Amino acid sequence: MDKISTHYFNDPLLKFIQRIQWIPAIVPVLYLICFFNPFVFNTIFVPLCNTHPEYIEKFINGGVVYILPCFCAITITLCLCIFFASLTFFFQNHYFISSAISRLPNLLLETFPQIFWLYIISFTIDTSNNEYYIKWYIIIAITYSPIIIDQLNSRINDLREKNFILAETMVGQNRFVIFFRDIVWYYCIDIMVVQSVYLISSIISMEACMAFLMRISPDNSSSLGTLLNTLYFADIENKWTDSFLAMITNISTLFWLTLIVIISTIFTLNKIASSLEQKWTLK
Amino acid sequence: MKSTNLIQAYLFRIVIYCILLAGFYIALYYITDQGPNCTSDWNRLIDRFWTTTRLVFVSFILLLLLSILLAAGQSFCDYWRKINRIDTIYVFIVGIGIKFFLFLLVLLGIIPIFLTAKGFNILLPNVGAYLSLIFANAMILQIYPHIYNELSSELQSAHIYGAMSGGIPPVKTFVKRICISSLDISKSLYINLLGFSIFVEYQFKEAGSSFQGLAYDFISALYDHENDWCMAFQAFCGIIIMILIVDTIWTFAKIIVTRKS
Repeated sequence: MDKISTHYFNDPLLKFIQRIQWIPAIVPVLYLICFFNPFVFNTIFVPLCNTHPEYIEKFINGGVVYILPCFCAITITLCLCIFFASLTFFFQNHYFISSAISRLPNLLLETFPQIFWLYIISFTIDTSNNEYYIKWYIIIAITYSPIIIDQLNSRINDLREKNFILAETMVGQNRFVIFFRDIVWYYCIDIMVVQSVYLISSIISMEACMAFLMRISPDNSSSLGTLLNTLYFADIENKWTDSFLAMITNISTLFWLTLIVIISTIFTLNKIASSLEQKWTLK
Repeated sequence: MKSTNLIQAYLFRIVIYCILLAGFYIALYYITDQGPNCTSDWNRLIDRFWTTTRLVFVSFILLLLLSILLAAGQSFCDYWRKINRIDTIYVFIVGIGIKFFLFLLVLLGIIPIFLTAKGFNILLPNVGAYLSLIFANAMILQIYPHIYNELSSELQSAHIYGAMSGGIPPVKTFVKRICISSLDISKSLYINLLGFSIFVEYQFKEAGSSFQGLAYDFISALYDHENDWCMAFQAFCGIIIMILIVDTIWTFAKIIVTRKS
């Protein structure tokens, strides 16, 4: 690292700015406290919200909806990414497989806008049962896979020419062991952890956007994005209000609370990911 | 990347476009049970095509200019600091100014931007559509660091000092570097903006926006016309043609740049 950047990172003012970026993390923590101890929420926020108790229950339980689908989505996406990235290692002498087939998801997803893909696929999913969430989140996560595949590919391309990998190959070590132990486990785990955190924030933001703007999720679903949509259209009949002030006063407090929770969670997750990335890069 | 590789990749992408179109066309037989029956006027599609192109292209240029301005500003601050050693002003401008601006941009995510646009009915709907498309996605957070990294590496390399001693003004070298780095990301940026136009065209229709293009047709076919997949297919064809045109222009520009450098 050169002189300028070392000085830049050690600047007290910038350190202070870096620290205040953690402030939004208070909101998800408070939200978790409210989930485990609804007494706090009932005494402080419920009198403020002044909405139907059903919506308040949805708000409290909305965060749980994300846990299992996000876990499934990340696991499946990472496996898929490792599979496609492994092609560059195992078939390095076959140009077509290592360059074209391994980048097939990237080519497919980069040639056509991600949101159009999501929109088309959303019409083919059965939204009547709860498994809908898992499918929907997996699809959203897969559309973000090109970023992870690109990063894994570049890391694997760097590593496969290294002396220790070449030495292990010459000794006769199993290529699967070299790939999964020496490359993926030792050198790619940082990429996967950081990208998983980014992936969660991307899933939450995309789901919220699509549920709010396109009304894709079913009405009876309990995600925070759907809650935003329900509250907005319950409070405002005409979508285009006369003034900003009228909109603020017409929409219930719970809507703004939900929006703050979503945005703060995305902020916090992005901050966690960027901090992890920075630490690993400096190492 | 060599120009032959670029042409190979381009031809491979054309095959993918053809597969996408053929796949959708075959899928229509299974979805509609009667086969494709595209009743909409194809000439209307051309009008829609130009509407979307206008919206996306103007937003694309504005977003690129904004990113270049930010990156150039920060690079200039780096350069200035290197020469003058004025730490306080540097930290103020770079540390707070630009970072605060980026922080604001992230804060104005897609939902807050739409709420603001909907709340301010006084704002012209077309202007609102442009602003939403530019600021609602976080693409600036990817473009700006990319251009900034390119510029700062140029600033630290010996090229710029060599060019200056050779009589070539540094601005020329900077502009060249900006153009090359912008070209690298322009295709993905255009496609990303095209994707986000689906939100903008549909949402701003009710406010009286004139942007009712391909993305609007696409969403309207499936949502308002209750799964009219034939109409959606027509819009899909238009979108693929638009992407193909952009891809062709981008590949040729990239080949020219690669050969020159």
